[in-house]
Amino acid sequence: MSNSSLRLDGDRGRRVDITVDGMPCSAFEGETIAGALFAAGRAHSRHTPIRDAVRGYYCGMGVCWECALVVDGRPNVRACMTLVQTGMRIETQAGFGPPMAP
Amino acid sequence: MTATIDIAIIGAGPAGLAAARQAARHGASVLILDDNALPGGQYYRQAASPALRQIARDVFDESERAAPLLEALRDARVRYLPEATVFALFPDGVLAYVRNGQTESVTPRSVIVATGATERPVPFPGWTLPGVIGAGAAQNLMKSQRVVPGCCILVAGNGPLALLAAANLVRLGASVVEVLEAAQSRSPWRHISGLVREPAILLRGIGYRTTLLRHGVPFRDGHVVVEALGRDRVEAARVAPINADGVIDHNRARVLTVDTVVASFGLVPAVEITRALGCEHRYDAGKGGWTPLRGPDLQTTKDGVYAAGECSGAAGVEKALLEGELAGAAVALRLGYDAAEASVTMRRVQARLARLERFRAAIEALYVPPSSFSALLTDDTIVCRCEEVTCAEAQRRLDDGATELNSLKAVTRMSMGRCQGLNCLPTLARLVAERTGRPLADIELPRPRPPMRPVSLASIVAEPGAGDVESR
Repeated sequence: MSNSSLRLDGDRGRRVDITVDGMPCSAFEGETIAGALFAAGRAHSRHTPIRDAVRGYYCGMGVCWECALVVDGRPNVRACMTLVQTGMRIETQAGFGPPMAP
Repeated sequence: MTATIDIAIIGAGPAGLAAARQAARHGASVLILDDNALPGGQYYRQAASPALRQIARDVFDESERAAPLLEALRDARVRYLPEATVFALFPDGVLAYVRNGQTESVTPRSVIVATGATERPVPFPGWTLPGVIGAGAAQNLMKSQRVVPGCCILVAGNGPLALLAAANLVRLGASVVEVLEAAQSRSPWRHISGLVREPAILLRGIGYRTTLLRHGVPFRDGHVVVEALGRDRVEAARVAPINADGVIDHNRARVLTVDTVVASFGLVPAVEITRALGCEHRYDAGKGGWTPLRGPDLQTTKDGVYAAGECSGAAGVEKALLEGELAGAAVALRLGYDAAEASVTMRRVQARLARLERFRAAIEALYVPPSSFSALLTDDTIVCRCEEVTCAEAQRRLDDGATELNSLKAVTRMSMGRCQGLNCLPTLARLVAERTGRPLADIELPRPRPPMRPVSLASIVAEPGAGDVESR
């Protein structure tokens, strides 16, 4: 099985175009950010604040916060709990991420 | 912003939904709060789009199987709030939650806690590398995304969930390299009297093993993953056998080329809410750790607070459904609804639960791990993911005399991060127990305090909008 087939075969419905760290990426309606990233062969979401260690999707149910990343400039968005939307800008989170807009 | 209702149910998984259905059937008004976007919990986790739900339906038919339960949500007496994060249940009975960025609260006459369970964290070197995921995480990718996590997968751990995840991966065509079970192979015949209590569940388990056999996936008892290797993602995993004396035999370790490790060491009941309330809890390794003490009607030691499903001991969906039904009937009875009918339901369900418990005990006996997983820890192994604390640091603090969890927490910030201890407290309790020679049951966990889930300060201070009349 190659990376391109991590999505199971079948009609996935409407395509949703997003960007991941500036690169265009295709996802499908109903997928979470985590699902779209894993399907693209990418498991990481962030670099930790203290050790700059790379982390990603671990519990898959919103509990561990390891998959937190930056979405449309907003930090600490959980990839596993957030559905993709057209035009979403997804970025790897560095540390605590960019400051929140007031 | 306070409304009064008969029963608030926390969690819309199998137990919560079954409780809602039963309570409403007896005439009670119910509010179900759940932090997910869709009902069903982890077990009945559904894909979010109709197109995705059509894919691999022969393996995953959650939506169809959950349908009779989801009917409960259409009952006029049941109000269901998705994406509602309960962050506090105060002793005066006020339950606070955040929804749409705002705090709302209710004061229900009774509460059924049906918060389920979370993955048991078992740290080993490299377990924080992207590509190391829990069994629940793997299941959710498959169930809700129709995606498999990698091209080359190792499944390793302890307990039936590892086997279930492996079988599902294989059925979906994923390449599973090996499946490792830490428990030594035991003869099921010694436990047969318990196992035959639930022939349907037993057959399902045998089916998982058959699936692996048919696809030529090696299943090794008495083996464990000892390290995940890689830079930015898992690239390999070191695995080793566990000798009969329980010692990991590193001399016989092998390195497998994999891009994903599904690590599954069982579940830990989610008891933050009942613990924060001050309900009495008891430690039972077989149930996954601390669970609330309950009467035969599933009421905790706090009047009007009930616990149902995995949060009272991880034992599978059948138990969760039955306990939900029992709690729903018990609360309805307590509140004065339909007494004769509710009592009949309770007696029937209690008998069925007793049978299930004998089955669970037999499964528990078959999966007793050979030794403590503390042998997997090295100095550099992260034990607290959020605060990035290594095992060596934790041990040094123990050396310095911080031999209670509360003092260890105070000096390291462990368990104070975003997961609020869910990913470290079981490990820390184990380290304290081993260092002090006390049994795990004697290790006092820090009392959870609100907010029990991360919520933004802005959402706590925000008043509900003027249009939000339904919660008033």
